[in-house]
Amino acid sequence: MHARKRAKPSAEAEKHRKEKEATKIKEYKNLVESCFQKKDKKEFDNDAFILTTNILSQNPDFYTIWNFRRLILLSGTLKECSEEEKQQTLSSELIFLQELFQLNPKSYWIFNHRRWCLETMPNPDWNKELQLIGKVLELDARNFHAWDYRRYVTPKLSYATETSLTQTEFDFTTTKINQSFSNYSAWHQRSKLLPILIKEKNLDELEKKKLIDKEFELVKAAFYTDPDDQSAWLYHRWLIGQGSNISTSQMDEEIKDSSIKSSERIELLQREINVVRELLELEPDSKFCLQTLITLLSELKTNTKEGSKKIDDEIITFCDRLIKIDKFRTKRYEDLRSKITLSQQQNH
Amino acid sequence: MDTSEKQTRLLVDLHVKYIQSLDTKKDDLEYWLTEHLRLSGVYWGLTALDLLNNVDALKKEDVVKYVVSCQHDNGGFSGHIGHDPHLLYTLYAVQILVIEDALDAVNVDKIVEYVASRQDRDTGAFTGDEWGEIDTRFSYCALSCLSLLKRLDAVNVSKAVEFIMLCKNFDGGFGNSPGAESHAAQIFCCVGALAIVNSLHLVDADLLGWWLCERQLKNGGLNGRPEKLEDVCYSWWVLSTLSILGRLHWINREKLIEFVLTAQDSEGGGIADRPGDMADVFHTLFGLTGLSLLEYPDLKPVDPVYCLPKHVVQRIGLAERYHHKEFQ
Repeated sequence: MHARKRAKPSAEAEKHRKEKEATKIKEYKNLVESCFQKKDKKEFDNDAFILTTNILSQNPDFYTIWNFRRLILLSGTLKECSEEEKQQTLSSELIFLQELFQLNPKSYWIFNHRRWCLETMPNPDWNKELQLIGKVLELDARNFHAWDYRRYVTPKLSYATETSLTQTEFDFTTTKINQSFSNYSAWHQRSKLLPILIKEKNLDELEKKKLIDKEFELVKAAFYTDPDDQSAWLYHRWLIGQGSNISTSQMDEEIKDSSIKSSERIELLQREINVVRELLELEPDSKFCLQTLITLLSELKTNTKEGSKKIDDEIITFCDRLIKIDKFRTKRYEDLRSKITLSQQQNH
Repeated sequence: MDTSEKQTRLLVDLHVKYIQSLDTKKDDLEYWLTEHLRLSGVYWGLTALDLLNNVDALKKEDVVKYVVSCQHDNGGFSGHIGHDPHLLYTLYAVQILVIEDALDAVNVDKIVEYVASRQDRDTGAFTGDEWGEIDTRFSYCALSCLSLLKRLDAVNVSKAVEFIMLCKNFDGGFGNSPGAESHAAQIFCCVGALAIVNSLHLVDADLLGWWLCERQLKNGGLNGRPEKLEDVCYSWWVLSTLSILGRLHWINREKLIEFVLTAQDSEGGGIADRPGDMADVFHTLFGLTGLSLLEYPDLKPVDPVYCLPKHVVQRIGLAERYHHKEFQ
């Protein structure tokens, strides 16, 4: 349904297409009808299996046919057979899926069936799955089915081999981010892995700080390269631990709970404020610079007693600049500005 | 974009005709290849027609009869007659029946039983069907369905909320399962589900609102994730969530209206994913619901939580479960 160009074929071309399609429709309808007859009669035989292959090759989103195929396998080939035969049957299923996947890299049902095969197999090769999905992500680094599948495979492999894959998966996101700073999927994945990494490595305060500072370096490199890409800025905001969503997350326990003292917090905020200010000098119209400064300054204000009026005034100036720069989202900046002016009025 | 004529108004009559014609396209292979989506198609079409003030363009009797024929002994509904039951289609069926005010045509207790049986009692998650796929889409389906049937008592709501919250991400958004990346359609499902069970306080509205309003691109259209292409359907997934969070005014109304209108097929009717592409009934509905949220004239208001015409939600006496904010 997505991204198919609208064409205006001539009446003749349309007639020709319909004629050609008529045969295909007839064949397809026959296949489906025969398959449903088998299904209704609960005939889980090889003919039925072949029918499902033929239908799914044309239409991998036909979920009922996948369900029927699994029933055929469960009540036929996979029943009362040796482990070896079982392995072989499901391995050929994986090959079939592989072929379908090439043509339909975004079908939920193909991934569902793949998971079922591996979970039903006596000896699933999780390592091979990881390699495979790595290749898929090379072709399309943002395919979220593929990222989901990767997150599904790694704990299985980790469990099977009794080794943690957190570091290697973390490194995988580094590779992806270095290939493209705009790979939001990789930044996201990193936000999931960093807290686990810290926990697993049992880092002391100093080591932890070093690791997190390295993250700040990476994210800085990213937004210096492309200040207009939201990905790095969101990661930066998360790293700072400003958003209220952070307050319940693991990250919070790991970073804040380990009692970064108020003075350290202020130091961190000021350091980052300076980093972003420098970039703003180079990119005076960068809306994400301005927004990040607003977030950082707002927190700095709650941490320091002096200069809050000055900070508020600066935030209001930034809001005004944003209203001019980012025409599509002026109301958001107006809301932000009203919040500040309202609190100023209340304090006086 | 250049190849398509700039549309400046909503082609109401053409869209009505387009939706009416959908069931006549039996000489297109596509018609047969999408059979598993037939019931969804009826919901998309019927809701669109109601918003266009033309709900009668599909004969109520036929619609209800068809929906009834998709119900199974276990209470669930399938995408078409004889296909397997699934939670997705069970919600579509209930939505259609609520629009047609025809819930008495089916066994409601059985539906409730089916939906409740899909919940994993330990995690609170919902499986789409007996094969066990878990996804926050199904959490929405279950909660929306039970809420429309006034039977939320049939499941463990706090557990359901717990599971949804495990899917929350660093950007304030939600993914399809714990660990999964935020995606606008998934965010609608999670925020909509939370709205239904009065748990919107768990959403970081400012952070998520920021993420959502950044989905608007220079051409006015919205994308579903950062650095992706615009698509008309996000006019629904993004806008509905912004509307639930009371932040609909954070995007540019005029530019988005222009984008959706340009994606209309000015000859055959219907709306496409983006200008110049083939129209389909899915994008037709979500283009229209988007326009409705933007208070485009000639369209009935849509409820951002249930994706049903507001008058339908009011008729069955459900409270509005979202923040109010006038479009300024």
